[in-house]
Amino acid sequence: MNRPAVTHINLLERKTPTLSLGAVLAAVLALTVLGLLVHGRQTVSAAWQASARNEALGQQIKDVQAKLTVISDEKAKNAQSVALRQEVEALQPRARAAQTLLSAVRNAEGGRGDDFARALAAATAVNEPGLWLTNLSLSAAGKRLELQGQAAGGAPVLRFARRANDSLQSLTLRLDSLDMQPATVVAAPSAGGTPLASSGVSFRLY
Amino acid sequence: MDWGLGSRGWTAVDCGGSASLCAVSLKTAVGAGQRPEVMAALEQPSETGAADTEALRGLLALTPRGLPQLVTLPRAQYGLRVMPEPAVPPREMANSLRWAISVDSADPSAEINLAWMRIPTEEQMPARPRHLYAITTPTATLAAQLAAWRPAGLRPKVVDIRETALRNIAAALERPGEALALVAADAEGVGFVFTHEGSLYLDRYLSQPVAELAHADEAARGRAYERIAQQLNRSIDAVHRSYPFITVKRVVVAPMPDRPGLPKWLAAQVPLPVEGLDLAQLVDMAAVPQLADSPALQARCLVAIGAALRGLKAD
Repeated sequence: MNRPAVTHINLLERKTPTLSLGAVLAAVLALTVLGLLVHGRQTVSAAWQASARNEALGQQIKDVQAKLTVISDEKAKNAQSVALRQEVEALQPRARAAQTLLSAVRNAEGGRGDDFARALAAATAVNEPGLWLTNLSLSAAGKRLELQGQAAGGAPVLRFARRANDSLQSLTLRLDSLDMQPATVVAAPSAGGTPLASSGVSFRLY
Repeated sequence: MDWGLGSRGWTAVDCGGSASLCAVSLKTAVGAGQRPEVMAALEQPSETGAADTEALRGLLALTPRGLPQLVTLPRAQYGLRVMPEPAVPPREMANSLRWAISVDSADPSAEINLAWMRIPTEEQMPARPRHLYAITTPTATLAAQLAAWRPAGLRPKVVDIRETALRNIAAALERPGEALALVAADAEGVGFVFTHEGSLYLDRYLSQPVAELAHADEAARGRAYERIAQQLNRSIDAVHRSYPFITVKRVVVAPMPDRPGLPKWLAAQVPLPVEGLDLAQLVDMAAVPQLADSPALQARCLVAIGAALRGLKAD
């Protein structure tokens, strides 16, 4: 059987226990470990917060990139729209010219019939790039034809005149006179490109 | 609690019991199976005892430095009483004891320093009310003594009493299961302590100045010894009656050269084996041969040695 602990008395009634060097060292060690634990915890917490912040920033970057992509797509769409609008605008003169020609044809059809139709077919059968007709009239009982139009330059007009005369020869019609004046011509754009406004000529063949 | 104190040993100063001061330095941090080593054992004559600053300074100058200091008070400077243990939580024990002591005190308002130690009976006699030893000393007296000791370089970490010092010696002599009576004498009288498993169960002190014996004839000396023997027998009976689970099997008599023949007288009068204390069984005195060779110095230093044994771990 173990002997019970013996009580040693001390009449000094020490209020606080005297600490041995070992106890002091143990306390210092414990405080050091505690400090390291607290510091480590703070470090881990700071690292976790930094990581969370990085993740948030990464997500923000992704969001911004996605918005930029959307904006780029919209910009591209807008550019295409602008290009299309410009192309449409560029085609407007030709459309107006075609409309004018169509109106002229309708007016002419009201009076003459086959002669006009044959003259129109012969004139429009000639396809000359860079030239388009804006008016066609037939007078003098179908003996006199007058064509008006626009072209990028004088050469297409001359080539058109020669080929039109070849085509009109079977109808005993001939275009002998040419009036040309400088004019601004809007050229049709290439695919996806911007329409170009360039100098050209307006002409009248009769 | 002396947590952390005296882990290597003590320098114990005994200020009472004789017209001299005594200091013992004991190294208790020894290997298993080894005895504590006495590093110094000194006696300094002094008429004024603990108040003799010069004698104290000279005494301490011859003791090893570095050991914590301990003082045992003269018997006249403290009170020792057995009291019922108050049925209060441990944290309220001191206040409860102070109140109980003040009721019996002639000066209830006097401030006292208090210590206590239980008398273990709860395992063997659970139905019996518990008792404890309460030790008191006037605070003012102790404070004055501490102030007087300081210039001499005596700054005790512990203030102890003679009975617990003798208890430590008896406890170290105990064999397993036995109770032991230790008889020790000083210049003023003869004291008994009864221990069991290291705890103090009974103490008695019989005032009998050596000075009276020195001039006594053989018949007067015999009557004085007879009184001591009777008191010892009554004490043994008291222990057996009060603590039936204890059987005192031996009486150990410390060296007492001032009372020649007392051990033999006791051996004849007491119905138990009576043995002389062989201090060499308890401590290693190789470093202090004057102690080993002098029963008188052993007798004078017995309380200081016992007090310094408080650092010894029980086996």
